[in-house]
Amino acid sequence: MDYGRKTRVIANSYYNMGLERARLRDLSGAAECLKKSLHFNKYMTDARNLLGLIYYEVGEVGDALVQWVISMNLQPEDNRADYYLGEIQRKKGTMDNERRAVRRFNQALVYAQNGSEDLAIMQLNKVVEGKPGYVKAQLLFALLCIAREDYQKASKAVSKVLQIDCNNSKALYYKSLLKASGVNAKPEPEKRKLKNVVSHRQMEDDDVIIPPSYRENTKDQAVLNILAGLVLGAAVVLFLVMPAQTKSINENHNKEISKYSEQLSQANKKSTSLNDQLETLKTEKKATEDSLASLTNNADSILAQYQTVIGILNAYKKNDFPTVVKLYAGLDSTLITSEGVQAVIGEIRKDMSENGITVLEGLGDKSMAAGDSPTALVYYSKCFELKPASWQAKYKAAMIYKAMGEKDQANGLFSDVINNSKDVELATKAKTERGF
Amino acid sequence: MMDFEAEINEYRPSLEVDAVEDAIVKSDLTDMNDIMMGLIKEVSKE
Repeated sequence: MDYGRKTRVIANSYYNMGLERARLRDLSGAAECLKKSLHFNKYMTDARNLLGLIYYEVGEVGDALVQWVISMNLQPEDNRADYYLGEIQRKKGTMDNERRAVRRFNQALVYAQNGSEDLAIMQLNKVVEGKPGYVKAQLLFALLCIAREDYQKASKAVSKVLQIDCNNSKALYYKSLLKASGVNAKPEPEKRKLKNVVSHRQMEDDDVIIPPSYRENTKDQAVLNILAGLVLGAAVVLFLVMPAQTKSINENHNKEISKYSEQLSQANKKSTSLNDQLETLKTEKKATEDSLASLTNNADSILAQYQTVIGILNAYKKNDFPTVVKLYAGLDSTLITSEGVQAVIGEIRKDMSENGITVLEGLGDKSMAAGDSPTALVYYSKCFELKPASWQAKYKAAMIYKAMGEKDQANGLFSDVINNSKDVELATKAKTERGF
Repeated sequence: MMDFEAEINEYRPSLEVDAVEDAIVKSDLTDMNDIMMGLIKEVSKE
């Protein structure tokens, strides 16, 4: 027997073995045998076609297509693969569904391998719902369920796999795990066909749902429906639209109130600030007025002192010396700051100390005679201010102080007269008045 | 006890329908006959 014949015989044997296993639903074992058969003889078309069929049965559509297309290439005529490919292409949407299922499984696998088990389970749920025969998806789903200790779902998935491929090694392994955890994975019994049982098959695009209670409306029903619609519309307006509008109006109103409150607050702040400014200005005005009054109105004012100086100078002009002395007695030279005027006052003082003492004393005496002791005191004081040795004036001033009850002032002046005056008679009088 | 990580890493993605063409091109169709023929050719060359 030549090599070619030998290899064909071996390939044939493996094919027969694979076929036998496939008939017993040992798809994994059958696939292994068929692959070996093709290793020995790639032209074993039946083996390749059966391998594609097994792949298709376990949901691996891509692998099935690969085998069938190669099969068609190797044997273009009288090939069963042509029928399989035609069947898939003939039914509209089949290819799209298969494509979607495979993509979802691959996505789920990525999720699962990256730790997103929840997302993986969601995807796998969709896959196995649409394609229960997808073995790899069922196995992955079972694995994730076992990991989450959801043994019932895992058992169901494993059962489904074993129903398709009774000798699937992974399924058997998971089954043993489930058995160890106390759950038995048995192949699902075929569901009995019951009357009035709602079908849960997936809907096709062309399906039309007809409500069981559908019937033509009468005129009365139409009126009732319109009335019901109106009532419903009114209720919607009353309970949904109106509250929303009221809320909106209230919100706008509140916003406006808030805006006005803010404006009012700012106006109040401004008013308070203006009042404060007004108070400050009033205080400043009063201070300025007082200052102005001290300059102008009072007899002791600065302006009055300047006027007195002018009066003195006028009196000098008229040779009215008594007026000069009288005015000088009322002059407070300390209020005058001008150096030029102070120089003039110095000249006047010099003249007063030389010639005005007698006149001043005389004016004092005249005031005393008129009973005006305060004015007399001013004249006498001016006398000893100009000339400290004006003992008579000092004595008379002391007498006035004594009469006014100002003992300290009086005693001071009396002591000065007693101690310093060379006028013995006056000193004696002063002693007597002092009480020595 | 099952090693979940190891188990899940054993899974391989399914062949996408859109990738069938590439898979066909990359398929190794060498069978035992081809290998034998190759060997015979080598031997006869020698």
